[in-house]
Order: sequence, then structure tokens, then C-alpha cells
Amino acid sequence: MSSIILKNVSINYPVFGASEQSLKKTFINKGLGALLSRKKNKTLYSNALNNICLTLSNGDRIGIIGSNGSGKSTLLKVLANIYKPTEGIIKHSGKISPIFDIHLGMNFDATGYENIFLRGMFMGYKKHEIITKIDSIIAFSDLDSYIHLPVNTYSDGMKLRLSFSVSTAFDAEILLMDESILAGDANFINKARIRLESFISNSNILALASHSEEIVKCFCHKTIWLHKGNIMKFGLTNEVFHDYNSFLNTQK
Amino acid sequence: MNASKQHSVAITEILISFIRNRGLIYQMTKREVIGRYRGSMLGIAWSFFNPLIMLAVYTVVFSVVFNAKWGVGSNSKTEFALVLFIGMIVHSVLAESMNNSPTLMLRNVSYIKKVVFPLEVLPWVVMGSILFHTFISLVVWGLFYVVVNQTVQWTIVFLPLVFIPLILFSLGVSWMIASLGVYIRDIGQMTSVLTTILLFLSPIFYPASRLPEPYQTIIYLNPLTFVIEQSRDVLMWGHMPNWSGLIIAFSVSVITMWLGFIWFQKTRKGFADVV
Repeated sequence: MSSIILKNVSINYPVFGASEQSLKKTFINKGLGALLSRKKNKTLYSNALNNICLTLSNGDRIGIIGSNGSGKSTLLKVLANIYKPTEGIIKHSGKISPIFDIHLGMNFDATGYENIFLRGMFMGYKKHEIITKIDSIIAFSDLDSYIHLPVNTYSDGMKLRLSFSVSTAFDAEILLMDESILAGDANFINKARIRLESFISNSNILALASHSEEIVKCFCHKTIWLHKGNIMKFGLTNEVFHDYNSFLNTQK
Repeated sequence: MNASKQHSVAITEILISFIRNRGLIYQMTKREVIGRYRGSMLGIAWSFFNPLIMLAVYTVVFSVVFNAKWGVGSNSKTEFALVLFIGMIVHSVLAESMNNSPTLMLRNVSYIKKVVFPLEVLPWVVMGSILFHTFISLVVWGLFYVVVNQTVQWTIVFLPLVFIPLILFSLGVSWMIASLGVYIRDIGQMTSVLTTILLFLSPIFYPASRLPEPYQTIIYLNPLTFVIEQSRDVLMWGHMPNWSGLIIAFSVSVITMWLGFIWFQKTRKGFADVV
């Protein structure tokens, strides 16, 4: 059983000016500040998520939609355990596999074959686990003999294929994705869809942040609509999109 | 897995984390070492030529130009360069990890923001790469010594014991600086000055015994002093290591390492906010 439970989770990013990270400025501010005024050391906070309560359990396929800056990525990162909530509680059970940065851990000077191991290890797998999967990874990537050439000789599409096939080679219990992984040519997207569908069917929970109605409707039966860090609506995908689209129309 | 769990600061966690991530550390170290020379024609052979050339330069400059003598009454033309080189090798272990650490987290922002990554392994990777180069330098030193003296001191086998405190100490410093460097960007400027000062305040270009009496105690407060002198004892002069001194050095290093680790684990929560 996998689940993620969020209780009253808020995320506040402190906004540091670049100058505040200089020691000189800190000393001057502290020194002069104490002499000249009693102004409190004000740090600006950007409120990325507000009081989110959410329960994801087995079988949930959740889409996350919202305009830019609505908190989609932040919510994904909280679910992935990368960001700690400023307030509130989060409880996980199950192995989490976040796929956000398609090129993470890849070294473009090394060959494709070496990069399969590098990226696999960044995802937390052991060498022998990667070896058992290596043939299927190479086969899916369609790279053939290119796999033994350095990655910087690849086209962008080839890089994407390589990292996509590594990322989806291992079964995950909780799968978190943003849509950047679904960029590629039409041929690849079709292939990737089939792969993703089988990949997703093996995982217990999926959360996918996207701007594309098509993609979300394709993979997710429930959807969260975020607006300025608040959940506007959480329900069946069709209903949420209905409200979301009419909201977008009133904004025009 | 539970997100509200704090990062462990237990001293055993240092070892557990190392064992858990050993495959990752090995791969990243390899990438770091090979990556440095990739694209160059001689490739990894540069790691051998660099110390070789430096040792040759030291020999010419200090022994021929300056006519420097290490011990009184020594006539050897090469002795000064060999003694000096040991000091440089020891100094570079600490200095390189100090200079590498301030930007360690900033160079790897995606490890902080894009995945759940065991950030505490990064200083191990830096240390792995340093130790590789240190090993090559020691081989070069050894070859030079054999060519000049036609013999090897058997006490060379104790060198790893002398280096362990140095490595643990450097790791602790590395954890400390890596975390500080995220919050205070000035640290990078400070470490390069500090390591240069350290180069001249350690008995690298001169024996500690040449200092006037009151300064002798002060120079032993420098953690490098003991390691440099011990390394010379076992490599050069064929003396046994100072066992009680080693135990003290080991204890001090373990405490430093642990403090650095605690500091890192306590402060890493804020990294994602700042980078």
C-alpha cells in the first residue's frame, strides 16, 4: 500500500536579495541597523502553497493543473520529499520516483552506455539492478550503435530518448512527473505513451503536472486545480477542467 | 519513508551513509577524475606528469638556484626537493578540499532541487578525487626517491595510518565549508587566502625545529604540522610513527569530522531556499 497524506501543508520561500548573502552587507546592516533604527530584519516570504490538505492513495492518477506560478512544481516537490513543508505534516509510504529533470546526473562527455549507469545510480539503484535492465533500456532508446558514442554527439531527441528509457525502466510505487518528459517527436511520443501506460499501470500512485488538457485527460482520472498556492478544486478530471476552462474564459 | 524525519547526525550515520552510497561515490569520483582530463591528448597521464614536472622544478629552484639545505651538514642536491614535496602533498589534501567545498552545493543545484539526493556524499567524492591525485604524487615521489637513494624506507607502510587523521579532518572541514558556502558566498574568497596562508605557516619550506622556541608550540597548533612531520618520518627518515601523537591526531580528527557532519546535516534543510 502506498499513500501520501498532506495535512495543512504550507510552503513559504524566503526571498533573499543577492546582497543579503554577502558578509559585508550583513555586518553593515546589523551594525548600522542597530545604531540607526529599530527596523526589524525583514525577510520577504513568497507564499507558494497555502494550507494544502490532500490524501493520495493506491490507484490514484492525479493531474495537477494551473497557470504559471500557481504552485504546481512546488506541490510536486513537496510530494517528492524534496521540499520540506514550512508548516503542516506530510506522511509517505512507498518508494517515490520523481522524474523532473530529464538530464539529471548525465555526463555529456561520457558514452550513452556509461550514462545509463550514472543516471540509474542517481535514481538510487544499485549497479546489479541496472545491469538486469540494461538490454531493455538500450532497446527502447532506439540508439543502436550510438549507445557507445559520447552523449554530446547526440541530438536533443536522442538524449531525451535515452534518459526517458532509463527513467521508466524501473518499477516505481509512487511516480511523480512534470510534462517536460513528454516532449519529443510524434513518433517518440506515441511510443512513450505506450511505455508510460504500462509503467503507470505498475505504479500505485501517479501525480503529473501539466498544462496540456490532452495529456492530463489521457493519464489522470482525478485532477487538482491550483491557483496562487490554493487548491481551487480537486475532483474528477472532466469536472475540474470544465470549471478551469470557464475560469480562464472569465479572466480574458 | 517519512518526511518529517530529521537528517541523522549520529557519528555512525557517516559510516552508514558511506556504505549505502559506495557505488554512487565510486561512479562520481571516476567521473570527476576522468572528466578533468577528457579531451586532452595525454588524458589521465597528465595526473602523472603534473607532479613529475613540479618535483623537477622544485629540485632545480631550491637545490640549484637557492642552494637550500634541509638538515645541517647535508650535501644532497635532491634532499630539499623531496622533503618539500612531502609537505606540498599533505598540504594539498586539506587545501584542495577547502577550495573545492564552498561551491560544492552551488555547482550541483539540480541535486538539491530536482531529486532526493544524499548530498552528504559530495565531500566524499571530492576527497576521492583528491586522494587519487595524492596517490599518483606519492608514486612520483617514491620513484624519485628510489632513483636518488637506491633504497626505500620500510616504514613507508605506516603512511596510510598517518594520512587517516588528515583525511577525516579534511572531510569534516569540507562538510562545514560546503554548507557555509551556500549561505555565505564570501567563503570561497576566504578559503583561497586561508589555504595560501596555511602553506607558509606549515613547516613545508622549513623544518619546524628551525623556528624560535615560543613559536614552536604555536606551529604545532596547526593540524598540518604533525601530519607533515610524521609523513617525513616514515617516508624519508625511516623513523617509526609517533603512536601516542597519532592517537591524539585521530581523536581530534574524528571530533572535527563529526562536528562538520552535524553542522551539515542540521543546515541542509535550508539549501533549497537559498540556491
